[in-house]
Amino acid sequence: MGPPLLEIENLKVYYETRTVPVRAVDGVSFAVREKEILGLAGESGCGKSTLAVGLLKLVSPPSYIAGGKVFYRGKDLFAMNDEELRRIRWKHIALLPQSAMNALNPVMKVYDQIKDAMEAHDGKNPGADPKNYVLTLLKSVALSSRVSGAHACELSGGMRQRAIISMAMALKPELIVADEPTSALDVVVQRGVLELLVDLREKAGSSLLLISHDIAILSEVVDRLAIMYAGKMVEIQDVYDIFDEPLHPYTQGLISSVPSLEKGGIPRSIPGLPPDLRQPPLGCRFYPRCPNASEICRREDPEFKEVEPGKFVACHMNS
Amino acid sequence: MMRSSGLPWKRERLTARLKGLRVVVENRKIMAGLCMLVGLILTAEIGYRLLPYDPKKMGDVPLGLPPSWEHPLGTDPMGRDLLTQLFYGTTLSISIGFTAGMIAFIIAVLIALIGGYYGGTLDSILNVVTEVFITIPSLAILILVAAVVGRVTIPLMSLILAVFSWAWPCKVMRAQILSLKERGFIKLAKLSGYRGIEIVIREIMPNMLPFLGAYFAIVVSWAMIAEAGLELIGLGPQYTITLGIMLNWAMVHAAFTRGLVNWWIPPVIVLIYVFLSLFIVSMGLDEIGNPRLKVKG
Amino acid sequence: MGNLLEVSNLGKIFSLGGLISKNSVTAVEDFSLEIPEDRQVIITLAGESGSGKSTIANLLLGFIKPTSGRILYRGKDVWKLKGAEWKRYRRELQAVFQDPYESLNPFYKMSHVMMGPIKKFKLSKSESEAYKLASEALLEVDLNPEEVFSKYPHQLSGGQRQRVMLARVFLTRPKILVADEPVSMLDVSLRADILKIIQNLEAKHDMSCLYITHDLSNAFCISNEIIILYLGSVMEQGNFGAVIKNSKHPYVKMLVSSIPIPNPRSRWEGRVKLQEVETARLETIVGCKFCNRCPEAMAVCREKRPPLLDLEENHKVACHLYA
Repeated sequence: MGPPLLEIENLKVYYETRTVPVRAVDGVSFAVREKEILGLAGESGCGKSTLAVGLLKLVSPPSYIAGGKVFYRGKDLFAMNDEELRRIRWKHIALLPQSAMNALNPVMKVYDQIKDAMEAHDGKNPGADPKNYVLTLLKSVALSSRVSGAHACELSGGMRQRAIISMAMALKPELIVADEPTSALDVVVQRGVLELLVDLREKAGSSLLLISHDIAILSEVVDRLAIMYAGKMVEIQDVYDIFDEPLHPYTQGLISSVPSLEKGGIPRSIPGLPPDLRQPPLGCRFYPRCPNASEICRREDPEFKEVEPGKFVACHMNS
Repeated sequence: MMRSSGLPWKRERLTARLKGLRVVVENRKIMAGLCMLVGLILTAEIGYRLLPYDPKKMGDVPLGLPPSWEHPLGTDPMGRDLLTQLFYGTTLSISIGFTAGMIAFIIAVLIALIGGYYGGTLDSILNVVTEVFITIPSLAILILVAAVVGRVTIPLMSLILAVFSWAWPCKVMRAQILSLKERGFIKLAKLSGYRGIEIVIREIMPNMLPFLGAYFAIVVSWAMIAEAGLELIGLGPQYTITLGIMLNWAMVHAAFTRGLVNWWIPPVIVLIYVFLSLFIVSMGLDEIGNPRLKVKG
Repeated sequence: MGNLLEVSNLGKIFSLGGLISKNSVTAVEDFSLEIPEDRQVIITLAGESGSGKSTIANLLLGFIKPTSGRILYRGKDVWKLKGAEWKRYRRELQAVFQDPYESLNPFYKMSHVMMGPIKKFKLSKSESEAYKLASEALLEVDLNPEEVFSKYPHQLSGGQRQRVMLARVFLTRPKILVADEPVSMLDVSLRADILKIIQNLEAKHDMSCLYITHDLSNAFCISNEIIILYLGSVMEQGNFGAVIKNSKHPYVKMLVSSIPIPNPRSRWEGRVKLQEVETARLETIVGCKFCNRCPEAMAVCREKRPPLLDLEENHKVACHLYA
């Protein structure tokens, strides 16, 4: 892993409602390093998908960027104009949003769609032979050349997802942000797609920010794991360390709540519900559900900081 | 948590039915459209009875008079008061149109339900029949029938109109039933021991209610257009007076070219008015269809 | 004691297109299953998409008719049942489906889905008793009857809707529950509760369950028998632990090894090979359905369907490697 590629500082993304805004992402800071696979986990509604869209300023009303900065190789993305930002997107940072495989035009040929994506973000085609390039791309995701001439509606879910990944790879980005890239896929196909994504680090030197609610699949492939809860980042550690010794009580609860073929038996789920993000509590957001909580947790929101080299956590009981 | 009597239950059902009625009543569009129609019918009925003239009797009044106080719309070249004709014709046109619409609607619903729900060869046959009725040129057949029959009576008119109005709404309804049939709650109803017709009535019909109202409005509008059209070209119950027949008389006497606007414009306006009110009602029915709009949740 | 449910060589072929087309899909082939009367079991029916598991659910529940094979309930063919016997089958075999919202008629309030079975199965003699029964059932699944009865489906959350489905199961007290992906549309944090309810029904209410899913990790929490399907045929079945830890069929080995384990020290080894081209429905294959992807395929695998054979106590495999 190398120096930081993407640095996110205190990012805030809110949604407007008729009353108060929903604070979907409320001050999140972390970095993605070169050639790293970083996993981002959390329950639905924790803000991870909003974060994915927010860091590339791809939010649309009613959501909006309420604060913070995002630096790509030292350049402030939010300070750029639209044209500069568009050149960063897809070419340097590619986003695979949730259900991206359903975003393929069912009646267009795969080849045309890949070509369109490349042209939209890069002007002209890289190299003199776009057709061959597309075939190489498809081959890198284990799709045969026949797929190039096929329509998206003729492909299975797993194949469409792989086609999307090849599109993301077309301009050889340094960072791919993939949001739930394997939900709705069969188990074996899921493994195959994840293995492909991991390969990109070897083959193209890309980093991967892998977002999912499923910590089981994240634990299979990531180097570091980040955990989000109720719009805030609560823990980031090396994946082995985090499973051996999770620092935040939410992480502990999350890991215990996942069923495992190794263990069997019904896992214990965390009682209670996440807070309403229109009026988040003043203290720690996990306080009502936390088995270790104390008075200070109720009053003060813990700071997210590095308690040991490489270990970040936001918890009063752990710093 | 336990009640001593089952009252919440019974109360629940009663209030549900009353609520259903209330929702209809509270909807502005439906009430507006209905008021328009009822207002028109009342005006026509009362107006007809107030005027002393006979709309059908020729020579009842002086011929070809322009509008005046005694004859607000004037009289036609056959010696009949035009306003009386308008009132009488409005009621008759509407009743023929509605009767035709009712018959067509009932046919459409029955065929759609039987074919759509039970499927199989029965459905295939019914489907073919529906398609045939949609594609055959109704006007040509109507002309043929009218020519063969000779004298078209009022009930016959309603029947003929019904026969050519049911097919298209039927096709649309069947498509809807087919898609509703595949919904998960049908499975659950089967698991609760319901079968066949019970499921259709209990589970499918309620989901079609909003559409049924709209379809009815469409069928009636269509029937009235067809009615006016047939009568205009002389294929209606020509022995009496309806809006279309008034227009037929007007056409025959070159009222359009002679500029006798007191003759042909009022029936046209009334027809447009009727279509408009039906349209407004169907828009309102569309609104109340969706329970999500019933209760903001 | 006999079997409550006995499925023998069940098969279902769907013909595509209208009356004229000849295309067909074999969704299920030669499927057999027994659910005993004297004890409760939770059997997992597992498979990826296209495996036929939902078709089997529809066949067992009597929604579609089999093209071959039989389904016997209490010894009688379910398609020949009439009167009281049919009513009994209808009542004792219930289901929970993947999407609780789909299973609810949007026109009615939640009371509708509870009152239906009470009325039809004559579970109570009066309105008040019906209300009492329905309330008790809702309380069993931790729902507040006052709140729930008067709400429309869209006013409840996904977790609440699925609980209502299970409350309905409590109400009907079935002998067999067919649960078709009951938790896959729910948030992870809600799944444990639903699994506990099913387990409770099995332990305390004489109910067996056929748990249909593609997610083995969840099924493993409450089930100890498993049947693994691939493209309509059984590949391996038996004791859950044995099939997982000691998989014999190459497909099952590939499947089990691909299931993610929430432990970075138990990571996938090696790579899987994905399909490069869309294979057409394998209607023309006479041998094992997995032969095109199987790393250990032999000549006989392309010629004959492998029979389902006993390997050891409660462990069967359909693979020529063990014939």
